[in-house]
Amino acid sequence: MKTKFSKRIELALADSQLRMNFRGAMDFLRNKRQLAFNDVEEWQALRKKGAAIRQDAIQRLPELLTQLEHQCQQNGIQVHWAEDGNEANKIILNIAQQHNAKQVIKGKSMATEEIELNDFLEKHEIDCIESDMGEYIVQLDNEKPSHIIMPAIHKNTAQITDLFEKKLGISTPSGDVDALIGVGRRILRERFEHADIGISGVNFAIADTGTLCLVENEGNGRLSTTAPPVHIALMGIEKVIPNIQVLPTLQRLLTRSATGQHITSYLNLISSPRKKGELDGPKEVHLVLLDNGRANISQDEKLQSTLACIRCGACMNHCPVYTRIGGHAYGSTYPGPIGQVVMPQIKGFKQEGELLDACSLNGACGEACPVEIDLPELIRTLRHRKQESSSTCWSKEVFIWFVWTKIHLHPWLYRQATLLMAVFRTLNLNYPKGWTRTRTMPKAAKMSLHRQVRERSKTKKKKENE
Amino acid sequence: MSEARKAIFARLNQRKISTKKHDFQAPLATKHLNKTEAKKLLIEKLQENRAEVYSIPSTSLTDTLTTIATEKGYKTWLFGKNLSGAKTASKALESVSNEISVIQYDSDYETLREVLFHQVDVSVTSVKAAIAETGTLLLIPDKNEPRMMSLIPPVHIAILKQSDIVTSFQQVADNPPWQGKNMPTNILFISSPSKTADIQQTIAYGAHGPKELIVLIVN
Amino acid sequence: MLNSLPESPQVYLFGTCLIDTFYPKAGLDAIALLELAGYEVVFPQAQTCCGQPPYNSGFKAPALKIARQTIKLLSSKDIPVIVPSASCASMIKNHYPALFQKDTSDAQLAHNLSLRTFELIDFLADKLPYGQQLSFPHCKVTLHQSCSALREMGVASAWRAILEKLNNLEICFPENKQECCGFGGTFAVKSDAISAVMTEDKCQNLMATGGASILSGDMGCLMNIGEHIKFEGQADPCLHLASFLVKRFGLNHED
Ligand code: SF4
Repeated sequence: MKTKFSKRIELALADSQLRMNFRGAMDFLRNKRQLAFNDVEEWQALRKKGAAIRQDAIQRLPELLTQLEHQCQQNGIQVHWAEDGNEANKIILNIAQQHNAKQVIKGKSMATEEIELNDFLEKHEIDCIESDMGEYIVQLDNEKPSHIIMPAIHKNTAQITDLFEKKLGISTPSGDVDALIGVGRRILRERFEHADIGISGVNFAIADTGTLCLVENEGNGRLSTTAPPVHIALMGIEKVIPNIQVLPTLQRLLTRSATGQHITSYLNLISSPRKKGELDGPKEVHLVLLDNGRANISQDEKLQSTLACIRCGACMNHCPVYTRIGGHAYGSTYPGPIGQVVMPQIKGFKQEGELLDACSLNGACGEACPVEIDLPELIRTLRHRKQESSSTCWSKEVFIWFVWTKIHLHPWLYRQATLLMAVFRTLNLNYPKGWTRTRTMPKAAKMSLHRQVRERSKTKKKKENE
Repeated sequence: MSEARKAIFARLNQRKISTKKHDFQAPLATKHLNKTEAKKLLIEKLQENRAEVYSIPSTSLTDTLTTIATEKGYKTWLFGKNLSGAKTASKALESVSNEISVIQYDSDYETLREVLFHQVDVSVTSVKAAIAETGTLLLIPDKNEPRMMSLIPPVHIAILKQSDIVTSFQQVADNPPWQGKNMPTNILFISSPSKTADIQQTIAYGAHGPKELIVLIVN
Repeated sequence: MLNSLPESPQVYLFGTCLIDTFYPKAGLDAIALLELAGYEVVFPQAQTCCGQPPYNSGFKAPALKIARQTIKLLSSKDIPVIVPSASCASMIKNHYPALFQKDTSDAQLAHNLSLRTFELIDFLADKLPYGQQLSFPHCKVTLHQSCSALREMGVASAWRAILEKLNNLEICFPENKQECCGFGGTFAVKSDAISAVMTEDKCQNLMATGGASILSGDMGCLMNIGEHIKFEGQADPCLHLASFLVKRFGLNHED
């Protein structure tokens, strides 16, 4: 029986335009990153340091979060805690309602995608508009982002030109990216001017100064956090870092891994709401700290490194599976290798466990990760956990491995099995189906290696005796 | 104290795992650039990122601004109060032609919003420091030079003192130009005009913020 | 008198189940090369599989049992263990130690085995008598660097280096040479749709190089690639690096 995920995969693979868009984009991003890290030694040293910074922070979460909370409050930032998405949504709605807000403008934030904030606010009649160009395009087409850094990467220019024509009634010359961006700029500026609330994510939060760091190119992040009278930032609790001294390393790793840039156009550090006498900036800043499974992950020796992620997207850019099926096929907030690792942990194996199958354990993601997360090992571990947690009933797979183990644990049985395969080598099996959809079946050799080695040593002995 | 906070900390403090020491204090190997090298690299990097850069003697700041005004046809100029020589420059600009007007960011954003979004062509700000390695300007907006100045107008002219160029971001982080934990409301690192590559990886400038960034390095 | 003859050093050969059943020639070629390099090869008849297939598929308990058996089998002599597959070598070298609780005697044995385990070509790279190779007319081959060779084992450069020491040989690499061929063990069956596309892409890129043979040190990849090329109606151009080297050194053994 086909599961939903495998259906989505088949559909994605059948869409040749989609596949071309992704292949082109991934090749482009991989090459850019390659150029940015052309000094291998420097990259390895930087990466080591980045990994150590993140792992240290994950270990010290209680301490760092306490400090962050305290320092933010000192600075006049209001801090909220949310155990899960539902709580976070309610906190945000509450703030919005207090201000009688009708229009929200959003900077790019994967955390808000994770809690499905837009849908929630829309249900409460608050208009929520995405301002990152990619997110805006995706929202216009009622889609979700297909990549954590480049949300609209699955669409090409022509498709976006059509979309603008259809949804906005604005036509632009074909192939004119500047014109398309111009349209987005005009529409979104209008929103920035009048929005009641700005919502953003956080790339890093500095504990000892109570500072929110936002990394971006477009300026929409700055606008979302400066123009509206209220700014709400949502962050996963793992994003805290001890101090500003570690920021340069992480910034370098993040932007180079994500887009091959040495730095983004803007690095925006926010430490307080508008102070007395200042002329702009929001009068209120709220920080919502989201757990949603993270605290438990931090207490799991084997899975803890999941939290080191700085959301650069390099693992998906390097994943041969993601490159072919694209982000939507995963049907999850975070796609690609990091998604396969994060989603089953925050939503459970029942709901997201099947994501774990779509991986050949080739290791390209782990090699690319700027903070040395051993993604293949995490996937492997999660496969073990999934198996261990599944009910003990005898599925076909369990049965196959049971028999397999019996055979391979008994050299005599194993020898009989290879012998059988040799005897029936000419049988033309069309099984397993997955294999034979694009391959012929390999034929067992007439004589196994075991047997040939045995015969060989017999002849040798004979010769020696003569 | 909120229930959620309590529950989260209870989970965080399960102490199910042993902690290891992670050493990340060791500094990375860095090159130190002398003044000339740093300036050269800064200019190179800024230009790579589509900024226009001019190196000028301090005496010709006003002249440079009026030249830009004439050549580019910028009409409405926005100044703050931090820049030394702003007064002279404003006067000079207004005398170039009667089409040119100068606005001061001296009332709050709410009052000035319309003007900021719809009238200002170009704003001029000071720069606290610049980072050569990445071609980055460090701005610390305050009541004299608010945050919006480098964000809403389509053109941003940034004035940098040559002596304020440093080599790396790490240097800034290790010796920040602010006082210890007393962080300014907002700190900005700007490395190019606003841009996006969200449509088929094609770079387009002026996504939301300035379309042009002009840097004047004053000796 | 007999006793004064220096004994040749011994190595274990862990042949892998795939080679055992489907490609014994590659195993025999590995033995021939090891003997050429001056080793006596010990092949324990009780060996089966390294346990990687269940291990990667989520079944840790069977893998653990197989690992125990294999460790025991390969620990009666304290000699190098040579594996003609980067992927299986990595299972023994990198994953066995992680299977056992720290500081147990099993972990100790696994660790000891890990240190003695080598991928065949990497092991041989500086041990073959390159001066003795036969001369061949110019020929072009394509190297498929398996993911395990590139990453977990880091021996892909040794594969390349050994080919570079052969005369009149042009070595080609496919486009996207770092990319997985789509095999991934049970991935090829479980995620068959994606695997199929990856395999097709890989084969296209490999064939486009125009090499006379496709060489690799991992029979898993070569089986995947070769069976797909056969599926497309062409002859299988795949050859284990060991088999290619055997020809170059003129080592003939009865098949
Ligand atoms: S897992 Fe690593 S490579 Fe993937 S997004 Fe996170 S930091 Fe980047």
